[in-house]
Order: sequence, then C-alpha cells, then structure tokens
Amino acid sequence: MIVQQGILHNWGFMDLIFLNFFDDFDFVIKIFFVLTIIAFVKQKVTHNTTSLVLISIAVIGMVFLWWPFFRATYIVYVVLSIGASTVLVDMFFVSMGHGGEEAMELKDQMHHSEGTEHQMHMAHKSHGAHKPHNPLMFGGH
Amino acid sequence: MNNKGFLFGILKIQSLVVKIIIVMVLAILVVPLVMAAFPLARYIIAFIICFFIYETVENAIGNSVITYIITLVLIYFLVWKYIYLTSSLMMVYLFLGFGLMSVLTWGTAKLSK
Repeated sequence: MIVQQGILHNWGFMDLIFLNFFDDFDFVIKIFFVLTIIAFVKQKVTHNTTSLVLISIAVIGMVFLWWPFFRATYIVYVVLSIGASTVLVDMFFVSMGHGGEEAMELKDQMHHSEGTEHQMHMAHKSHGAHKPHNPLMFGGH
Repeated sequence: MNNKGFLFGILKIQSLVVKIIIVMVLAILVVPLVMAAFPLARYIIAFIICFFIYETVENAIGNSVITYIITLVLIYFLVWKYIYLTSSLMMVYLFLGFGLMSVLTWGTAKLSK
C-alpha cells in the first residue's frame, strides 16, 4: 500500500528511516557507555555513595554535555578493545610481504642492470687498454 | 577462473587488501544469510544474542531489577529491530575474539599468491 502510494520514492521517508536507525544506535551506544562507566567506577571505588556520586558526575558530563566527543572516543575504544588492531597489523604484514617481494624483484633487476653496466664499462676499459696510443694526441710517443 | 570458481577468480583479479576485505565480509555475512534462509536459525541466534546481552549487563551492574530492564531495552533494539545487523556485529566480535580474522588475512594472502 505504501509502495502504491509512492511514499517510498519520497526522500523524506528515507531520511526518516536512516535518522531512526542512527538515533536507535546512538541510544544503544549510550546505554553501553553508561554500563562501561558503572563497571569501571565500581571496580575502582568500593564505597557505595562515592561510587554513585562519581557515576552521576561522569554520566552527566560525558553523556549529557560532551556526548559527540565521547561517542567517537568510546567507539574507537570498543573497536580497539575487541582486537581490530590485530587485523590492521596482519594486513600491514601481509601487504609488506607482497611489497617486499616486488621491491626485491626491482632490486634484483637494478642489481642485474648495474652489473651489466659494470661489465660493459670494464670491457670498454679493457678494450681501451689494448688500443694503440694516438701519436698525435700524446705528443708523438 | 573457470576451473577454480568465482571466489578464486575474484582473488586472482583484485589487490590483496581488497581480497582480504571481500573474504572477511563474506565470512561475516554467513550468519545473516543462514538466518534469512532458515527461520529456525534466526530464533537460535536471537536466543544466543539475548544471553550475550544479559551477561554483558550483569557483569556491569550485577543481578537486579535494573539489569532486567536494561536487558529488555537492549533486546528490543538489538534483537527485535535490527537482528541482522546485530548478528553481523556479533560475528565480527566473535571472529576478532577467537583470532579468526588473522587466519582469514593470512589465508587469503597465501591462497592468492
């Protein structure tokens, strides 16, 4: 029915879907962030009232005042804590292996060409050594 | 490409990082595809995610009424509304936790040589 009325072709409807989606996940991230704060403070502070005060201050400051900054920080923290850096390190190693092979091939080629040039230079030099002196150039020796 | 199939054909064409990303995405999308194909798998995965959420909340604030309330709120969003996305994220979490991403990375690099 919605498709027949053509509402799906309206960009406002799609915006509504995506905004709802991002709002929902923002809310979920907030809940997980508050849970992380509670777990952290309870682990560090054993006194109940003090921990409640610290949790309240942290939640007010981090969630209600500076949420955009702490949201990005928390996402990076979660991604790194579940081990995403391992994948990056593996990718660097693997791509370095491939790049290293290419670099070695290039180095071999350059070494080969340098050796050929050196051989040609030596051959030219040795060829020049057996060459008879030009009497006009060296003053008739 | 004809002898080794579509996946190996892609592995031969693309650059290494693109190959690794393709293999990882395919591995992550296995569970949502199974859930789409078999409805029973959807209930099983939803059950597992529910326990996973409850365990996470219980570790943070202990066992109380608030634990059940927060668990129900999270289950509504993560299991009821976005079950496919949550299952994909859970697969990423499990793969990273068990170190399977490294296996995929090095295996792809080895197979694509």
